[in-house]
Amino acid sequence: MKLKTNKNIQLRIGFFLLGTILLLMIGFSLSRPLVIDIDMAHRLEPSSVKYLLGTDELGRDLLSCVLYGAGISLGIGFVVVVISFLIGGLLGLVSGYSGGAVDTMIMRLVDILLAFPGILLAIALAAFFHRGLLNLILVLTVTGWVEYARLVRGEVLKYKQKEFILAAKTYNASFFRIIIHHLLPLVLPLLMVQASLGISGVILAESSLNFLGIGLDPQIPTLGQLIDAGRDHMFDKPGLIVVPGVVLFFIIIAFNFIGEGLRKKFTKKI
Amino acid sequence: MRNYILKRFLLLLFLLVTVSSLVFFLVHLVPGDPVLTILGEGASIEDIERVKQELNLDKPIIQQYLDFTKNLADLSFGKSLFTNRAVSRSILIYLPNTLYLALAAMLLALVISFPPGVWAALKGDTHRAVDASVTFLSSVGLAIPNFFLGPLLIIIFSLELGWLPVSGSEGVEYIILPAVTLAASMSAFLTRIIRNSVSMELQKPYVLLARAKGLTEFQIFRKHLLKNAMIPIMTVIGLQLGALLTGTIITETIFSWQGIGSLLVTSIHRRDYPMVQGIIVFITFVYLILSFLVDLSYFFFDPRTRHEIKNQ
Repeated sequence: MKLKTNKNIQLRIGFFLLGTILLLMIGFSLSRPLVIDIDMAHRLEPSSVKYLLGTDELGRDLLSCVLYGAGISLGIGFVVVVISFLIGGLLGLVSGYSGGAVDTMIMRLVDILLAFPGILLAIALAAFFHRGLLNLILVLTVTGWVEYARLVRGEVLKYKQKEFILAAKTYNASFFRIIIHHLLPLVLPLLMVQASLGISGVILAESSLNFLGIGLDPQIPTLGQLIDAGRDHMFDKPGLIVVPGVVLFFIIIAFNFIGEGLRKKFTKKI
Repeated sequence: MRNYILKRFLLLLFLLVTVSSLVFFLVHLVPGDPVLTILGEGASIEDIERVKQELNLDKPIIQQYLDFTKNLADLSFGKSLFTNRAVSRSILIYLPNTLYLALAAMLLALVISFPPGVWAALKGDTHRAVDASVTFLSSVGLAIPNFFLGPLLIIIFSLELGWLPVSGSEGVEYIILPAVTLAASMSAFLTRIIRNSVSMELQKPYVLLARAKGLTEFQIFRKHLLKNAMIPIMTVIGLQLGALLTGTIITETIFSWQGIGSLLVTSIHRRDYPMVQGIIVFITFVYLILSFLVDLSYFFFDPRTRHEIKNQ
């Protein structure tokens, strides 16, 4: 069997999966009201017309909760990636282009934040912060921008000594003009790849924190919280874990495929 | 070379100091009173005073910081609010279980990832389907969160099939599910690294030369390719060992595995701040020292690095 190599299969699968997830989310949300209120009278009900996927331990409609949780994950993922992209991109450009003391300072900060393995820094911050949406976004951004800064700096160092930068300097282009007009377009593809791979990283970290109970208030249905709560009913109602887990899996794999596909696309051109 | 090692060592020292200071100041970064966060609103004044004293929050901040560093230096890492014992004692009690789990997962990941990684790299050109299916499987492995995979494995192998125990850490059969959970994403990741590393080496001229000499593909792989391909793989394995300590946090929580990861989570929920700080500092130190050793190991595994550093 020979697969065609000129088509970017990963990118297509990624967009197909993401599109399907979004369509399903929008379709279900529009067709029936989202009920995520706690209703102890209807705990752990099986599937019915009213509760398509049944209810959870707190009597909440599982389908509504999963839709709500997926929305939260996508929303937080998007917001955190945009902020990290902007902060990390800018600091990376400044650090790489200016060099010297500024570069050293930014890079030491990067070193410090990267000194914590995996999501340990996020766990450490979340453990000491109050639960809440803003704090969760803050925690994920503090740990999230670093990778962008490092990548962008590395790229900038490659182009810094090139003739076109010298040319820009000779006609007296300002510092910001050089980094925004001359360097940014060159590092943008790399930033895009990192952003789409980064979304799944952020969503994974967000749901891990919620799984551990140190993200949002546990009353708010998130995919991580649903999986955590579902562990009490693995025997009698495995769907409480499987449904949010599968949704989370597809969200993450969709963004991974998009990221890999973009990487292939851009590295081919460069 | 000596200069490089010295420089790298200074960076390590710098990171050890700043990282531990950062963890110290976390308590003080919290908006609001940390004592009220621990006890909840409406705590009695006596309780507030008691916890303040236990946390040393009644002393000036410089004094607190000096005490914190002193605790790190004498390796006690402070005193737990919950058990009243030195944090390091708890860490020492729980650490063997964590190491046991992390090493089992690492071994499992190596066994799982080597054959498909090498296979995909060697056959990738002629059998696109092999390469594609290995890549696909590793994408799946990377996308399954371990806090979903763990319960899923419990549902299938413990509850439905009844083959393995649900949780605990008493015997050999208890380690299988946690190790698989922990190894899954790592083997997916390692498979990719191995595949890329081997296929990069395959394109180098020395492989062509070896083929021209008439060596078999197996000889080329074993005598020439493997050593070169192992360099990036070794780096990843070294760093992953440190990252595994973080991975155990969630895995241990799922399987009630008595290690420092589940101890960390329990301590967070008990608001046992000295314990939380101690474990975080400990894991980070282990990770930093491991990455320092990984950097140095280049000199032993790859003589070229020695020359590169000398020529700079």
